[in-house]
Amino acid sequence: MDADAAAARPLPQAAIAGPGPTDAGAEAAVTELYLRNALGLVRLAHIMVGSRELAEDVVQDAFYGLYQRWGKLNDPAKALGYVRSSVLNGCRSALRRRGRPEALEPPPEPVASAEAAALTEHERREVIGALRQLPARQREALVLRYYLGLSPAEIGLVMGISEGSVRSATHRGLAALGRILGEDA
Amino acid sequence: MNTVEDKLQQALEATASEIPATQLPALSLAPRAGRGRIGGSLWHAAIWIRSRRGRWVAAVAATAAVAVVIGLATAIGGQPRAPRPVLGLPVHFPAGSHGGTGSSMLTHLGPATTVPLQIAPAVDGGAVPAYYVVIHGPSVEVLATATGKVLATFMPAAAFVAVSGAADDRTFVLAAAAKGRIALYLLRLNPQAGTAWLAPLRTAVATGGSLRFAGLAASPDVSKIAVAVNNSSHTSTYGAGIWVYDLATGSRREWRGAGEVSDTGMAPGTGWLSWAADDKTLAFDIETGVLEGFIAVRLLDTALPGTNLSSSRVVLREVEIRATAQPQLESPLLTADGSTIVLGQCEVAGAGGPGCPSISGSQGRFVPETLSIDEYSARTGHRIAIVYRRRYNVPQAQSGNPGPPPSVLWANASGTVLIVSTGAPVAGHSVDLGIVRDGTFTALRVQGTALSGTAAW
Repeated sequence: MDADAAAARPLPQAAIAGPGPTDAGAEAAVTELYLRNALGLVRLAHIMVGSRELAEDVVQDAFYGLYQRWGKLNDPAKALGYVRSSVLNGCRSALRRRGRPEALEPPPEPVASAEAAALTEHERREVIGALRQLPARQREALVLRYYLGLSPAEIGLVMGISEGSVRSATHRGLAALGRILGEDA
Repeated sequence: MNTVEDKLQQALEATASEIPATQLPALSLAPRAGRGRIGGSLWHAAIWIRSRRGRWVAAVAATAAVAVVIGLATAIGGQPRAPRPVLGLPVHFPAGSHGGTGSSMLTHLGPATTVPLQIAPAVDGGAVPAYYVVIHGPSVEVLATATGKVLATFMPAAAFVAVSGAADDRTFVLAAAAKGRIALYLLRLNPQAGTAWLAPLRTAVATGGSLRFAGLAASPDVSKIAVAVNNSSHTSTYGAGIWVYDLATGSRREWRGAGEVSDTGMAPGTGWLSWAADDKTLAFDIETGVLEGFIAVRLLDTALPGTNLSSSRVVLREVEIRATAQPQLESPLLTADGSTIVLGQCEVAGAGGPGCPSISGSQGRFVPETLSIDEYSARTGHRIAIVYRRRYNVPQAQSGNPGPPPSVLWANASGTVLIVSTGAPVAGHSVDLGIVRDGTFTALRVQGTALSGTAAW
């Protein structure tokens, strides 16, 4: 042992921290954030994992995680970004636990939703199926860009990667999607 | 509607609209059963410092043991084979010689080589194993934990590559590379008789092609041996596997992980395996989501049916650990009570990337580096304690060549006492071997100037 071993010591008790929020207003703040953003996040998770039930669980857990850490949040304005990241992480975890996204349920009839009026159900399934063949990073970058409409900088913050990596992942993802769909990106 | 972008945008919106705006569940902020660490990777987990009278319960079982395999990945030829019947010699251990280890199951041994064995002094009143085995070059040595003295030496005509200890401080399983397979051996210590013997098991690990042996672990009662295999091929649908051999029957169960052709596939981990005392729960590390590339520690319930490695549960992931800085995960070890995973990490302040290396900058300056042994909940994946922490100032001149992160080589049932190796990332320092208890590192003597080779307690 060298002299540095003397530096080895238990951390002071001041480092002890228990679970759960310390801010009395945490519940109200997190609930308000949930009410404002849950729908979009559940939809985001649904796109990622292909299961409504799982998507709701992922989002619930993300908000629960935020609630647990609210006291450590330096800037409440960053809470949404944190939850988005948590949802993406949760989707990745859920997919890894399950293996692959669930297959799209067969359409009841060839009746598209209003939002998809210009896209047949067959095309939608084809595009989503192709999206789910992409590597996770590309898939997430494309969904954040084309569903949430985030900028590369915002996507980078959510995914924890650089803006350049976001652009690269988006570009490669579109190219791969085009190849799978037999079209030029 | 001609471009891929347009189609993607509309497909996303259509898929999202499958979730009606009016049917969202209310937010629940109460802990619920099964709520796991799904999200939150950007935030630090709460950290508790161990209290001897704290929430940790007393040890409930004998110790788990684990092998440390240093820099080893052996390619073996041949093809995987189906389980085969095992024919062997019955073995009867002296009654009461090993505290109830399930040795009656070990009925499939070839001829044994017996050598004299000196008795090792007890360590810490018997709380720490007295014996350990080191594969040292062509020899297999039995050493005393307390003194580092060699107590017995085998010079087998086999290329041993891995060793794992059972819970009884008397039994070890070794693996040797042979043509087209990994041969397994059993090593038994009989201090009362002053002998140790080494015998081949009739069960062998048949790897081959691009499959590589990565590591093994004997279950605490040596009724089972788990082997990790990896596939070096980047195009195979077989990315990695866990094979569990039942020594009573010679049968093998196999769990496979998809290969790198899948973005959720699995790639070679580092071969760390450890069993809980229930003889069912197996911890292993593996690279998952191979296109992202991170190590995950998983728990596999080998009592459940199934053959898919992805059915195992992710306990913690390297990226989640990295969120606290840029640490490098090393030697995850499941404690015998199944409650916690202890592992080594290192963090370099200001490092550009994950792990210990990546120190850069002008020479002549020093960068603080922290080596730590941390404890994580096997249930939630949260870090619950820093068991041991040691800080160094690393000369930047050593950029890219730091010392190894600390490895957990053995833990008692609840992880309160550990045997670890820790290498100072400073030139001239060797790997130190020691016992960690209550945050204090007590060095163990080793032969020569440094511990080398592959060792197990």
